[in-house]
Amino acid sequence: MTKSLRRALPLVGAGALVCLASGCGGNQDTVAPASPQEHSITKLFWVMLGGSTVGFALVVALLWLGYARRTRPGLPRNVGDRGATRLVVGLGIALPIALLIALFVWSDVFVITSTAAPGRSSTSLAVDVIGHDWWWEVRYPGTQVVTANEIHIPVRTRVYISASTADVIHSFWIPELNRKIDMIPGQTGHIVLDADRAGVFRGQCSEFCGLQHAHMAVSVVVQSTQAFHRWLDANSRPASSSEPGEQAFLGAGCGECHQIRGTAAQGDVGPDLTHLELRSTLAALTLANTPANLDRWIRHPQAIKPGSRMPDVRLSDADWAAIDAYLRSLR
Amino acid sequence: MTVTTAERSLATLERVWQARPGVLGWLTTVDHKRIGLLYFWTTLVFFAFGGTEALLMRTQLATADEHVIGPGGFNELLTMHGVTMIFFFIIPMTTGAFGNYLIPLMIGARDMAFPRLNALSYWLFLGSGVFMYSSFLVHQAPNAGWFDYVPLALKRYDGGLNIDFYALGLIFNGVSSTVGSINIVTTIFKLRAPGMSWNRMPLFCFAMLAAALSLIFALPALTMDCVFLELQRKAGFDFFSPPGGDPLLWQHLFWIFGHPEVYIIVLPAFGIATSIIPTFARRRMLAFPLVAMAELLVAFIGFGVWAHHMFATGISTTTLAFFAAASMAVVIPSTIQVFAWLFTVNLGTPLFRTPLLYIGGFIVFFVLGGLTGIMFAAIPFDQAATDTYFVVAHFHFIIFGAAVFPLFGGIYYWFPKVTGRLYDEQLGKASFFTVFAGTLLTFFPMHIVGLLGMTRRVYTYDSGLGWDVYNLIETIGGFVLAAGILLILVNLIVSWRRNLPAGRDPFNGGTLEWTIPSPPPHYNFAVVPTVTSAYPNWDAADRAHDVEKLAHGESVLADGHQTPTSTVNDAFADPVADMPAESPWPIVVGVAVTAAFFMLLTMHVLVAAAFVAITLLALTGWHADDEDAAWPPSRLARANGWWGMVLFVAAEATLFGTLIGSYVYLGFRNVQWPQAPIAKPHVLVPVLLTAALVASAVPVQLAWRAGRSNRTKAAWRFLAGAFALQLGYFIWQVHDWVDAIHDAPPSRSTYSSIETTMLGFGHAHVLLGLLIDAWLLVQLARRFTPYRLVGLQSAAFYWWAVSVISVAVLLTQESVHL
Amino acid sequence: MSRIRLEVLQWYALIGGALAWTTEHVLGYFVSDGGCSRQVAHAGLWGGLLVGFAAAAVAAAEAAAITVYRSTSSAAHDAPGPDGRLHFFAVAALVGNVLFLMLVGLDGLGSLSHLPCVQS
Repeated sequence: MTKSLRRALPLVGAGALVCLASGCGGNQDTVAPASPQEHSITKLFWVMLGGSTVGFALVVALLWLGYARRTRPGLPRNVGDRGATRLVVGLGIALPIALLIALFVWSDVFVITSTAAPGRSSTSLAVDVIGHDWWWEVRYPGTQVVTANEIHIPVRTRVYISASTADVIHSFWIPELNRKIDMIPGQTGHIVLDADRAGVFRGQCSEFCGLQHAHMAVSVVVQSTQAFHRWLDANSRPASSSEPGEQAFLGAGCGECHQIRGTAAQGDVGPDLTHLELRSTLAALTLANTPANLDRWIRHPQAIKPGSRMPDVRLSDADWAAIDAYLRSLR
Repeated sequence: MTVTTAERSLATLERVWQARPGVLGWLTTVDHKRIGLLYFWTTLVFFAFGGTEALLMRTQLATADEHVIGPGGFNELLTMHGVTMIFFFIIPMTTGAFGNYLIPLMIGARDMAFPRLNALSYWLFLGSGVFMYSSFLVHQAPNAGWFDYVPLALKRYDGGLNIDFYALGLIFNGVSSTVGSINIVTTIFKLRAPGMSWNRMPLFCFAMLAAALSLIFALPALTMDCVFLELQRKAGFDFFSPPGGDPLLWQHLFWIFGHPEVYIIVLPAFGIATSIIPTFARRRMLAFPLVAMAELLVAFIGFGVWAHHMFATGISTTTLAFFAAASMAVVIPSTIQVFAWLFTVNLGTPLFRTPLLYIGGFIVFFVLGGLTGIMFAAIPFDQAATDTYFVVAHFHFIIFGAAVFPLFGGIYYWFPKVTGRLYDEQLGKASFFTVFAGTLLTFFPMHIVGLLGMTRRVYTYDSGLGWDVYNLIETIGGFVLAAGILLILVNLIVSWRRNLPAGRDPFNGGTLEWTIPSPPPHYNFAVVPTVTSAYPNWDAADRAHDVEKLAHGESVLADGHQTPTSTVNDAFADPVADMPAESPWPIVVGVAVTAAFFMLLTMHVLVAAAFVAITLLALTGWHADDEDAAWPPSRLARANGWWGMVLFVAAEATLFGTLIGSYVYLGFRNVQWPQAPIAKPHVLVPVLLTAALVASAVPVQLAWRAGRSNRTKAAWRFLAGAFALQLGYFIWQVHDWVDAIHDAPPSRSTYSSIETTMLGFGHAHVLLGLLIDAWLLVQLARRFTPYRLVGLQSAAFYWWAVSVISVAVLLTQESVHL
Repeated sequence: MSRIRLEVLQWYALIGGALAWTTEHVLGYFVSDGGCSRQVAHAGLWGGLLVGFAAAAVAAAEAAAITVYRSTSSAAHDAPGPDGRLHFFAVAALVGNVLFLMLVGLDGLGSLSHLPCVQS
């Protein structure tokens, strides 16, 4: 069993490497870079992985040598205690010191400059991201646009992200675009997002933030500049719905927590719903935004996301249907 | 047949050192071997708890969107798994079980330096474990992660008792670990057999020394952090909430403890590896001085890397560079050791039996986890991969692969010594291969799934992100691993029942524990062993000399519980020490302290105070039977008790360092300090009072000098004078302190919170000194014994330390005038 | 060389470099962190001075280690104390101080090659 295991391991390892390099995961893959920043991090990783593999192989080879020559004292070529001590000094002190200094200079002096917080003037668009238990508020300073869990940015544009929190510590991280930045009460962190291709990139809160830490995801939608501006325009308008469900919505108390611009709903506990139907997911990427899911989510939030701030509310089926229709008209 | 001298000596030793029979004997024992075994079985139970928690989590994570455990339960399991494995399994297992059992045997001593304190540290450990786990009974187990970040852990987001169990439980556990560590360090300093200078001390003891020193200096940061947290949760102080406070203060203090902690966990494993490798490679360790230095260095540099856990918090690049630098350099001691181990195996003719196999597994996993560790010193990569499963993989290879594998190897290696029976080799090898495969399967895929973006501490995950298959493999691996660990247990039980006698030295080990029978007699060594190298059992002439000494009745020391002591550096023989026998007081104190913590948890402060009073009363009973030691004192060297006091003061000084550092840190974060409208503190009165306190240390010192030259009355008068001065200081200061709290309540500002806490701790240390003085005054009025003399000497040292601390606190407090 | 001088040199070699790095590291942290508020002026200068002094102290510790190592070279590393112990700790300090020099150097390089007070 152990022999076959030993033979299988390199295969599994190699398979995993190929898989990693080709981006076999979803769209939350650290080593599938889609920005200059993430490219530099990924390069750093592959080089370190290469060096580590050589080092690991050396150690395993020495262990194997010890086993293979277990009946013979001493090292090959009659290297004795003195020679072995020199090897310890060379391999255990001199060589690692040289390699570590090189790594330090490369990563912590040079690479770090590309992933560090950008100067505001080096960017051409600003987005504020605010972490909440357990969703993301997204604002575009200078516009009316407020949305949630879905950040739209134009491709090949340096975007200045300001990350802060409304409650506990969260961490903003889009693995394919850049490093993460913690959202800590009392301070604002900054990173740059600079996608070099269009697409949807998923991210997830990466600082433990309580019950629904697992269901606090966000997606970054990278689009052409024109498409982005169309989206921004659409989102900056107040709600214009002719559906009668607005009264049912307000009557059920939803407006205490949610804002719908242009209506009496002005809450700030949950996400802004002004253009809910323009978003592709619900509950911070927990569900796809389909009519069925929307209905299920507003009726049974505690079953889908236990502990969420959104309460289970008892209403008549007619009211639910009216609210469903109203929410689906918010586009 | 005539009775030989040797037989007579052994019979006397048997009689002098025999243990009280039955359960009572175990409850009152001070024998380091029995305490070690108590630690061993207790920590194994906690290991089972922690392992079960892990398996439950792995079951929940086996597939996407699983519904075995809800988010609330999962977060409790997540937190308790970490807390249990670190504070209730590895630390007590390594320092408490292995350290206690083996250190005296390796250095040729008959017990630890403070046998009753040793028992106390066990009962406190057990109490803290019961305390922490009782949280499950009331369904309020800690649930904010073992790292317990604020503000998630503040009352606003976590209103139950969950976090109070965590904070008080860790303070409690820290007391036990500190007491145990002071004991280990003093034992290694003072009780080495004559001839065992530093350069001849077994590497296991170097590792334990480094781990114990690290604990002494690391735990105060955690303790202070938990005190801040409880003050904020229960008394409304403000350390962590902006704008005045800073949530990052929690993280800094937590990791100033938390990273040394990693090395504390893994150092004993190094020690076990450096014991097993020479035995089975059948030669001495290569590069012995470098390996010894590496063990000390890794512990030391480990204190300078803490903020690498905070690379993503947005701290400035210039500041992060300090911690990246230290994180790079801390690798070197480990590379030295790895190559020293590998070349020792290669130079020798190794027997690959179960203990060495586990060490082989340890080297593989340690290097694997170490290499990914280096990656985290590259700040940009850390900022990408931190808080993903890549980290989980990295540190489990270190704290499971590297720290626990040697424990398993060590259990096999010393099983014959502890039980006198051989273990089953075939079953042992089978257990190794199962555990090895289980470890790889459980933790290796975590690297991949982490790189694919899976974040840590999630109770569930979506399908379609490429994580499913790896998670399933991990869960299967977890159960394989559990099966392998059960095989070890089966082996121990089977081997115990099979009862194949091991003899004193089944493996031809090099260190002193193999020179004595298995299981070791209560007195450990029949004669004071002769030591001329680090591998005394391989020095045949010295062992023959021991036999000769026994035959002539030399160096037997059978006049009571006696053990030899020696000088700290070069181990020249010092006077013989009399050790205490069984005592009921440690368990009494343990129970009273446990009760006090439960009362604090439920905010019954007065009842808690009553239990503290019972503790103090028990402590006076503790020393009641030390009256019979002979006068004049035979000990001219600095006694164990003095060293114990020095180490205690070192821990307390670190506590104040933490307080002062926190004060400076919070001060930097507030443009206005003190925050308006609080007035700056007075200058004249605190300066004069502190001067008086410093002056009061002089008469205590004089009291000790008078005592040394047997002028008992003068000693009493000097001490009484000092006591009066210190009492006056204390009353005045506490009065001012209460006034200040009244004028500027700590609940209103961060400044008042940290100021009140810092001064309060200062006054508490004066109060402790006053209690020591009062106790000594009563004792000196009754009778003067060598024990009291050490008491006076320690009190003098204590007051000098309190003086220095008070000056530091004063300077900090007055720094706002700059 | 006198016994006392050797003792002093050995202990300085063993802990002098360690203490120098500790001081530089902790103060350097506070200077670089506090430099971003009003409390510390000329943070870069202070940081540079700290690194300079610490590097000199560590170099002196290494020199002390070499001196003790040479003076006790006749003793094996498990010879009886004090000679054996002096030699043993001298060997240990020889390695330790190289490491502390690396630490101080990297601290200096890392903290001085970036602009102060810029979020990472």
